[in-house]
Amino acid sequence: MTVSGGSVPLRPGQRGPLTDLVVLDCSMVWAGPYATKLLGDLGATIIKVEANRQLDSVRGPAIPPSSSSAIGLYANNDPGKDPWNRNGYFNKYNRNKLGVCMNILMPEGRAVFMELAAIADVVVENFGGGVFERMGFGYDVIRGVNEDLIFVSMPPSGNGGPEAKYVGYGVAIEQLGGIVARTGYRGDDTPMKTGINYGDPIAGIHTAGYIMTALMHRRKTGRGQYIDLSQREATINWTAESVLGYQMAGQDPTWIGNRDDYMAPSGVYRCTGEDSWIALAVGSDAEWRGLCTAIARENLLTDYPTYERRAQHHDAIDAAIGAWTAQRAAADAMAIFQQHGVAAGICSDNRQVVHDPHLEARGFWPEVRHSTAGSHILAGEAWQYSRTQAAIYAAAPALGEHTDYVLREILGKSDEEIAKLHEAGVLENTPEAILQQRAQSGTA
Amino acid sequence: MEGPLTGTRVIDLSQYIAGPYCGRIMAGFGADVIKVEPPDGDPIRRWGPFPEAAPNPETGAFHLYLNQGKRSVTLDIETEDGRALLRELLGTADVLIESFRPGMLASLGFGYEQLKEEFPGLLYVSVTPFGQTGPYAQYHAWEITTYALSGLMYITGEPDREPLKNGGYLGQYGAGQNAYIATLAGLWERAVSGLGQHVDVSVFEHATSLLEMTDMAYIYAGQIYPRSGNGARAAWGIYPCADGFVGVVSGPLRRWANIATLMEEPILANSRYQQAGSQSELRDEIDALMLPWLITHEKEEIYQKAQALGLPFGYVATPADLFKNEQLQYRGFFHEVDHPVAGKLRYPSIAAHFSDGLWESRRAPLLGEHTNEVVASLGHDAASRAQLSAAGAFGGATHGVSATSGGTR
Repeated sequence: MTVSGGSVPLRPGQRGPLTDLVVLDCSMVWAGPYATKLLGDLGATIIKVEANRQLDSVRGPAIPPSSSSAIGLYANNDPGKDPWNRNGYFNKYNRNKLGVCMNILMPEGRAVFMELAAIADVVVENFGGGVFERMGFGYDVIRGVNEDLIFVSMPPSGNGGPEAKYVGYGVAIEQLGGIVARTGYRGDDTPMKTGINYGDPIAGIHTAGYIMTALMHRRKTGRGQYIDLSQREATINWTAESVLGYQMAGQDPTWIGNRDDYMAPSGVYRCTGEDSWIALAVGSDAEWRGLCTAIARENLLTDYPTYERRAQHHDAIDAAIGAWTAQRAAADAMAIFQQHGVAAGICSDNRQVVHDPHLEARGFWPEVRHSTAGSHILAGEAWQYSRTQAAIYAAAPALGEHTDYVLREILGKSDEEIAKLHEAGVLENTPEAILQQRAQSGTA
Repeated sequence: MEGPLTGTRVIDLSQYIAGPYCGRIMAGFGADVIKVEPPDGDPIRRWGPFPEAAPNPETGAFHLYLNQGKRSVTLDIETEDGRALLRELLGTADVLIESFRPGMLASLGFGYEQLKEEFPGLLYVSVTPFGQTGPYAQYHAWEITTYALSGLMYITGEPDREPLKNGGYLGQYGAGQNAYIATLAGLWERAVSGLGQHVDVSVFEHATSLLEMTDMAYIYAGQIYPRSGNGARAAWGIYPCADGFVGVVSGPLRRWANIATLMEEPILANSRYQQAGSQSELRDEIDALMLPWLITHEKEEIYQKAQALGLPFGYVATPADLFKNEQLQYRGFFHEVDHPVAGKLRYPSIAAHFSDGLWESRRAPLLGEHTNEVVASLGHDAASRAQLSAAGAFGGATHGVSATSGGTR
């Protein structure tokens, strides 16, 4: 008999449609934490279990090299005394989560972990294929303490099969999933990677939805579920039309730069200022009329009245648009185009998007106070609710920040029991590398 | 087959990619998704590719994939009868998905505020480029527009060339996948409260939420993050091979020597190169040692051999490659689905195995295929339906072809 969800106290500010759910998060880096970030932002209680011996790599190294090229990710450019708590990558994806740091390979740690698994609705792991299972935490084992659990594995190509043990970074998954084969400058002989490791967030967004699906199934049937996700398959789901198109045409797609198979013109045009650009696409004759009016070139309307004509004479049209945008600031050009019904947007850099007036008006960048990194804004989510508004209410946990809280308030352990676990080295909130450094310098 | 969403009825008014993709996932998991189309169909039906490059509203690749498992009803909601039928349908629905410009449905009497009293349990899901509020709410956008504004485009491509869009329509798919999460979370809460609400999904915000850590580089440290092309790191990026391109990924560093083994080039094992690691100064030298082996081997072979050595290589997979891959075959990812006009095609299913097998791949509906049966189910007898049809409530013709199953997962 398990008591799932609804039994843990909510934290100040925690709200949203999923406040009755508890997720035990054993994932690291980007894909898994992305999935649990989504559920946490919807109100679920996320308990992230970490190990002090092997930090989540996006916390950065416990002792960063003095000439660290990753210095830009630390709050206020300062690694500080606890760099692993001050890394922007980790702190972005782990907000709203409770952080527990313990050694789950020690018997007492394993026991605490199983107690947490027993009260959780969902366990998420993204170790390489089979690794978590070999550590003794397979679905069959955990199911023994929580029969209706939803258990999620999300290796690169799924569990089982000839590639079950293959390793994969997001940079390879976006290639394997069909994104890169269609990305690149038109006419170049090599395709281009995207600006992010696309495989990870795609897998994360899929996973959160599949977890909700399995929970709906559980509500209906009382049954738990094992979800075996493949990051590669998730990526293919977002390139699906090219898979069908290949079967129809008998040939593979290629990269076409900023052009579009269904719209013309489509492109990016230089504006005044350094590296400043505006992107637009014309999807209908009405939009084309708007564009020609906006740039005061009504003659183009008669020269190229149809999509076919525009696609044929794309270069000439690009030149006309570019001549107009080159005289204008990108934001001004965007406003004028949009007034004429043209789907134009500036190519924001990371500073501009953070200050984008629309995102600001929608409250997309809420501010949270982190225990050592200070107060900063964080990117929000793609959805808003009218009634059960979700919230970003807490910064990411410092390593082990909520260990005692979780054991006391959620597992009901006494202060004595918790102190004992600290003494035994099961609970340890300082990275192993730092402990070793202290031991070597004799200052332990 | 009984799925987790069997018994949930969705009225899907959405068009193009993002909203319909949300409806597709719901349909695959068992929801009764009624795609309400204008008389001439969702405009995505006009997008190719098409078999034999012959445009046909029933056979476009986007339509076939995005509307899998749905029923199609044509309604002209510009007519009073059409609107009355839509209202009757909403009375049977749990979820409404729509993607019109904010305010458009309100002008026809179907805004959220106008519906919530009559249908307090309705989950009203809007999937639009910019969301329902804010200064860009009325702006127009295609994929490239929101992709540019999100900051994703600025960081893709070469530093001395223009920013580059990613191929395909990832912003649209992603917004739909996010809408699916948000819809199910809304249904989860509704099961307890009995109340619906308005869920406002934005493509722009989805795209912005993908910035990995470049937003943090500015927020935490005030840095502008540049484009870096295929990367300046040594032995890390897209390289040519005999039949296409492979992704060389030289991490983790402790496995560096395996690259020398893989490429049968002992000089690569030199500790000088290993220590160079991800640094770029030895890039050309290292490339020159790798290329002779790479360009004489095929991508699938390079991928398999590298992985056997624990190297996280990938390759630039085309659809043809996907069908050849043994792992995807082993997992049964592609489901063959028959369609009365498009014929048999292999469709991507979903990206996971569920131990209880929750997914079913079905075909997309013909335009208006289910108008008759759905309107009949609302209690309109043949005479009433004929009257509605004559009054133009449905616009075009209706069909009568039965759905066929294409596989489960």
